[in-house]
Amino acid sequence: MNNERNWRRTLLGIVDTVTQPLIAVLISFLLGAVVILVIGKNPLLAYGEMIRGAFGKQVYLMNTLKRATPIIMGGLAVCMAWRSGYEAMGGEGQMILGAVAAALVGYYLPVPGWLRILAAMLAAAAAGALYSMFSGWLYDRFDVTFVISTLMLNYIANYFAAYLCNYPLRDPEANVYQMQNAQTGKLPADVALPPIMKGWVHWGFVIAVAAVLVTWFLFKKTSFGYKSRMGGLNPRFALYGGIDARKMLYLVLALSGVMAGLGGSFEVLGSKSRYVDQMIFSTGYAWTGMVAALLANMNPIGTLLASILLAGLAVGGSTMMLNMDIPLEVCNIIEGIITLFMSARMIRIAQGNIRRRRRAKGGEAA
Amino acid sequence: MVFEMKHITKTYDTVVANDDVSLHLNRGEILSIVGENGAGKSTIMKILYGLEKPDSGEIIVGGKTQRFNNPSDAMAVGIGMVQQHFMLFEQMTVAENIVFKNELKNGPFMDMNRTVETVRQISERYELKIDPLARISDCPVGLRQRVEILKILYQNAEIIIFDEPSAVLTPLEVEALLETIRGLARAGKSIVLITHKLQEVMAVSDRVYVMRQGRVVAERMAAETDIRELAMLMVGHPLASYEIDPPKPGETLLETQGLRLTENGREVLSDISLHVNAGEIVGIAGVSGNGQSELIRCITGLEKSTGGRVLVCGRDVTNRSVREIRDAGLAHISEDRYVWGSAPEGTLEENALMARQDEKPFSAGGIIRPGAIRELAVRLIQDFNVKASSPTQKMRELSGGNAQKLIVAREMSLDTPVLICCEPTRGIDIGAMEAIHNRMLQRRDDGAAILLVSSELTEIMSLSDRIYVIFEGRIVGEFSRGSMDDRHLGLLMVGGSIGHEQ
Repeated sequence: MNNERNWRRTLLGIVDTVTQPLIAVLISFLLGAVVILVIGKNPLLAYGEMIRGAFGKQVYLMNTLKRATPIIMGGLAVCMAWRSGYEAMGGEGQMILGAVAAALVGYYLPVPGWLRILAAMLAAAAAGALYSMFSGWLYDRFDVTFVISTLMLNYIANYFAAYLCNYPLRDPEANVYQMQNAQTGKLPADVALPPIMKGWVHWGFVIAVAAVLVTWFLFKKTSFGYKSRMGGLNPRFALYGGIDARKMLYLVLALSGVMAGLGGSFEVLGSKSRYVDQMIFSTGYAWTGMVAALLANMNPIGTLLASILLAGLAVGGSTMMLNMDIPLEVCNIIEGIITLFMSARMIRIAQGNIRRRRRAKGGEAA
Repeated sequence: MVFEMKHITKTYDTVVANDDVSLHLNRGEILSIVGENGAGKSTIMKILYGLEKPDSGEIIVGGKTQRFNNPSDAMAVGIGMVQQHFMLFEQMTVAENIVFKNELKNGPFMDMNRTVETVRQISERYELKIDPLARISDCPVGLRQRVEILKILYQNAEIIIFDEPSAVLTPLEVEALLETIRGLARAGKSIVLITHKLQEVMAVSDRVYVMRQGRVVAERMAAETDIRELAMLMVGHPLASYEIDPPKPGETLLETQGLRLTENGREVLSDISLHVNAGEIVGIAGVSGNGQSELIRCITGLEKSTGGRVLVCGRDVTNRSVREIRDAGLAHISEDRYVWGSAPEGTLEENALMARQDEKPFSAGGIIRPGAIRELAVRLIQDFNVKASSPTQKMRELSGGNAQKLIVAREMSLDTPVLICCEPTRGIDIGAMEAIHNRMLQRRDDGAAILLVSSELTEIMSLSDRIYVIFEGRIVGEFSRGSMDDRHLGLLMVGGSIGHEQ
């Protein structure tokens, strides 16, 4: 009987956690339908087009999965940090530096192709981790809140990358007169994450799925997962139980940065073959990833699914635009509304975290 | 009869909080309602004060049946309540707080002169001395409570309900409060006192109701009963008094030498030297806020001391990490179960695991073993008779007493030579308290060194083999069992000295 009750409890828990995101998505699509009606189109047809354009054909589906890849990684970065109570939003900056590092190593490192790919990914992971840990250090040493430090660091990363690809690392073969974003040199053909098979998505997606599983395993099955969760639930309790808060801070942020950095490298190695100015910033991968993580309530597997959904929204939206003459902005509206709904929750989570942590940090004085 | 409650029943979901409760109060009488936590005494008073609505039953005040929708309705017929948690504006004066919501006005402005004068008059009439112009933030707890009482008197309350009024007070403040209550009754007010402190009940009450599991189980005239009988009625069975064997102290297991802590230039702990031997319980008596919390945090590694040494089992662990200190042989029941001692949103399993997360068999090579953790949680739950429905339920779903039992179970099961117990029974019922006390004594007899910090003087006095008194961050006295009575301890706790008295 006790077991039965456990089951019911678990089931109720799942229903409970899934309901809110589902409602958010549903309402967003309903409001999107209103917008489509207002511009005089049939929302059912439009959504039909969108779904077809996102998942209807292998090409479309692969496009969606390709777009989902960096989103998944950005989402995992958020899961990692937020579950431990650090509401860091630096995924974007870390992803940018990861992409730049991958582009650099991929372009310059004089080793054979497959080794270069590996080195590029390692460099991206390291760049993301270090940049993420830097925000941790600012918090640890100077009490700078994550929201502020990470948002600012995102800009720094983006403009630093812009400088690099505009000046010292500018593609020597680029046409100066062409109106296009600055970019670094194109990677050799053998320095790329190849498609899984012909016509399929590149291997980056597979690694992203593996990262999802690894993250899930870390959360559920390791003492690291326990410690990080306790630190997120009640930092004072974690401290009291002998968990080294500082070590956890840097470890968690490093892992979070690894995810984001790798996400950036997949974009370079799997898709663009170079770093193009603004390529991460303008696409908003990291932010979409955050929405995905929020939709999934920091569950890695849920984040994977939500990332694919959100990527599908963008990819299918383009088809909808082309075939039905509906502006792409409709998709932005839908994603915007989802974000709005989920950020209401985000604010709640963040407030709780800040309160708890302030108590833990100021605990000695309180 | 100033009020009468007839056949009041109130249920929350499936819990019957009040089951056919009938009681009445006479003019000028001091009535106590006693019972364990969850016995329903707060609920019945919330109903009388309009905070809760009864499912059935009748409330008669001033000869008329009343229906209260909110406290204002209750206040309108002269019922006021001094809440456990004060609701005062820190940055405003005593007088401003007292007249809040019923300000004396001069046109659109507040008439400050008249306000101060009125407050002064009430204060004098009831002999509740206050300075109307003092800022609340400058007032100690005892004075704040006085302001709360005056607030109610200002609103012409005839019936005053006190909800656990002494919980936050120092021993001397308690005496003053009891005198105030007597004074109010002499002035013709009728008083209801909700408490579980039986000494206070016996000191002031005329009549006592005992509640248990939502019912009134007994009514006694104070003159015709005693603490033992009341305690028995509250718990439902005779209380075992602790039979404490003389201590067989062994070697020193916990020691601090000249421990200091300076915070923002202020000395919070000054030169604290104490020791606890194997096989003894050593109590630290003091009014909350005199450095007890900081002392324990410095010993347990939650805070870095600025001078002196801490030794656990002979090892110098001064300012080491919590992990190292725990590994040296120390377990710690923390002072606040939800702030330090648990993660309310975590499961019982997660809460049971804390401090053992890197220990076999619960984890090996960084991988956790859910089976072993489940077993541990179930063992702790059974061992301490924690009322829980499942080891995967959330900690916050447990009642305070059961949550505390789980925390105590966790720390005691670590079986360390040194055990620190901070407020181990704060806010829990007598049954759970007894269980925890017995375990502490058992650990002591097994040779553990136990340091007990409690703001309940009775708890310190009944369990400790030795007592240190702490005042303003200093040890101001040390006594062994039986050599000191609570009056003297109380005096030392508030900074008095014994020498002058003689």
